[in-house]
Amino acid sequence: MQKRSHKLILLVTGMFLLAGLESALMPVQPRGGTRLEIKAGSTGLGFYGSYHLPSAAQLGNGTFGGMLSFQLGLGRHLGLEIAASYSQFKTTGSESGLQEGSLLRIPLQLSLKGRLPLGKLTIFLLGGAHYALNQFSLKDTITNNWSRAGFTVEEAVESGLGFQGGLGCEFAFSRSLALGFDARYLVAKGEGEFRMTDHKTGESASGPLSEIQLDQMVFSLGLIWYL
Amino acid sequence: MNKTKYIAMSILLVAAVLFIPAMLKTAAAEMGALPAPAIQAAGFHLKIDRQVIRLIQSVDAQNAPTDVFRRASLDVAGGKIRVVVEALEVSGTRSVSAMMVRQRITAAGGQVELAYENLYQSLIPLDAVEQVAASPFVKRVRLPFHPILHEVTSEGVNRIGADYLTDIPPFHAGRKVKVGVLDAAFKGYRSLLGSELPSQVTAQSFRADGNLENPYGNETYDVHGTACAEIIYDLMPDAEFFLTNINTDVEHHAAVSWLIQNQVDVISCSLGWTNAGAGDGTGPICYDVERVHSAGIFWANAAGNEATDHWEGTFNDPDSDGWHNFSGSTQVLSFTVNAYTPVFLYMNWDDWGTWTGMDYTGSTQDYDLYLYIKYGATWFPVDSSQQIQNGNQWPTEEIVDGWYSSSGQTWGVAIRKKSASRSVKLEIFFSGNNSAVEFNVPEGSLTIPADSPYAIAAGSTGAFGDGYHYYSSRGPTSDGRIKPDFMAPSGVSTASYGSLGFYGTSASAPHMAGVIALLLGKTPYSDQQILNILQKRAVDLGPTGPDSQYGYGRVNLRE
Repeated sequence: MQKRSHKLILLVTGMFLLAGLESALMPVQPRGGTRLEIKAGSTGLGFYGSYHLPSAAQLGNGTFGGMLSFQLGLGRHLGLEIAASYSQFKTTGSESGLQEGSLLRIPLQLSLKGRLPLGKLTIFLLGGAHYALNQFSLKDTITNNWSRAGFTVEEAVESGLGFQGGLGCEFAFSRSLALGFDARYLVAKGEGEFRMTDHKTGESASGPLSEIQLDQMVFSLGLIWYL
Repeated sequence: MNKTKYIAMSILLVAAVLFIPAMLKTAAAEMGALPAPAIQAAGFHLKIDRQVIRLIQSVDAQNAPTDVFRRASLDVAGGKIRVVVEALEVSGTRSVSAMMVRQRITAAGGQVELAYENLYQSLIPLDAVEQVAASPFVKRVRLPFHPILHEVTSEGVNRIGADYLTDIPPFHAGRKVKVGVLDAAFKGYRSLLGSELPSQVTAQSFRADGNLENPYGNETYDVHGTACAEIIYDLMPDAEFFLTNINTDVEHHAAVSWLIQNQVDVISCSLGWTNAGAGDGTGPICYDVERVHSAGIFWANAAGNEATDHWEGTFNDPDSDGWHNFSGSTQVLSFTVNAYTPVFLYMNWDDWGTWTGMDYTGSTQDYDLYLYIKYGATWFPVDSSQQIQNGNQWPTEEIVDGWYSSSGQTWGVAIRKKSASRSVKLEIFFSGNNSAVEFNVPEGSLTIPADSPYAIAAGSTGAFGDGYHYYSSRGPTSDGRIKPDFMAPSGVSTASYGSLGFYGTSASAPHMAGVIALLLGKTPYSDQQILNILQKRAVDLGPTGPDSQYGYGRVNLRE
């Protein structure tokens, strides 16, 4: 998986460099002599494929996901982005933290973007906060085994706030279509709870899950339509 | 020179004639036998058995096999895999094959551990197996075959329904559970390490003679503790074990302190004491159980096997001759004993005074115990116990000299009031009788410390059904509490006692301890919750609700 992520990083970096090179060598003067540049203040919709690399080993290896973004230009150098990414991690299981299962994460992100238009290429930095919707499901074999013994076992990861920051670029094919790439790091502290309930007696034991580290690096590559 | 060249050419020619068809045949046969193109595509040589390939593929970054290959993990360590390399064997060429195979294994960074005929048990680096297999002199690379260890699992594990839980990984249990086994002896435990017991246990004798394994010189007694530990291991193989044996009350105190120091979570004790307390949970042995409870440790104890060896009643002397009348005018209680079986008698009565935490204040009611043997219709006195009770002594009498006869006989006991201001409630425990004693009273036949409110006392039911075992001691305690707490299987199989050979509440107590250890080690429940679960999941036996024959019923983990 790590090799795959390295390949992806190399590919995206290569595209970034090519786009920059092309932009530098060929200052765009398209038909009518208008410089091709994303219109300041324009809004756009982005559709991305993404690769999510967790910082903690307990979330397993990286996983592919997706991201949807809505961008609002606030000026030539400033923009606002609302984005939602989707990823599902296979947890490896730990004694006091999450056991084996799958963690679905949907961070709803609000970011401020600082943009630097360079012809076809726009480079940007972003930073902001997010509220992540988390849903954790224990591996079926775990729940089934305990169920056969007459117990229900559950683990839940609470949804919560976090922060993100990153950088990226957009390469304009036309005034309304651009190829976008960004890399952003999402910081989030995870809190959760486990619970075991005895079917027969109703006796229930619960406690906090410790050591949940939800930080992740997200690489996104996609298309942006400017409205 | 020409002659040497000729000989060399001849050898090469003969070798070619011999080897090539054999190699082709082997390769063809193996190609037909390996229907796994996916694995072949991964680059592994055709001569490598699938099990070897799967094991190599399962090794993680730390060169350790994953759990799936737990059994095979015997063969992977330190980046090397133990395999058997089978050399191609063609008539008359073994020495050549041997040399070439050895050379290839060594060149690949491996080592031959043992060679037998064309088999080379070798340790080979994981990434060099293919290199070894590629040799034309190698016929096959496979995992070594391993013997099956004939493990003995108590039938009680299934009876209790613990088999569902035993193999499940813990769910936020938060600890590796430690189990203490306090017993009389642990003969043979070393030979069971890694099979019927964990590969490592902590064992210490608190006997004065330090003899942990065979202090009795009697197989039945000496393996008693080992069999108990086996049962617990069947139920909770992940537990850490602490084994300790004792022979006296003082040694008992020391052993219990040692177990507390080692922070065990549950203690299994299949020993019972008589005349060591008032039967109401007080006394020095029960005090040890209380200490254990205060340290947050469970204590599971055998209820006792004395239901048919027990009599109790209030002193009754209608003819005012100073002798107790057991029934009507009968003043001697009879019981039968086999030849050469020693007789032991223990009597106590309800005048212990107050338990101070160290001792009882003592008895002012003096009663004595007499032992008789019957020849014809006549009782002959054999022995007596006439301790003085004048305010400081315990209300106990014992005849423990081990009297026996060379033929099966009827023996008798009588009770005499020596100096007493009231009619006390007496009880006698018999040892040596071959059937229920006359006027047998099963109620109150618990041995100490099963009477402790802090002990979980286990009585005996069957390994395949819930039938009550006639010998299983019953409550209530002398202060009226319901005991035993639970029933658990006995008559189960262990390596120590053989198939279905471990009977008695001694076998039940480790089942109880094992179930507690299982819940402690697998679940996040508190001690009290575990007790609640055990009580509510128990299979109620006898009268509805808890009673002094079956307690809450047979321990059960099935839903």
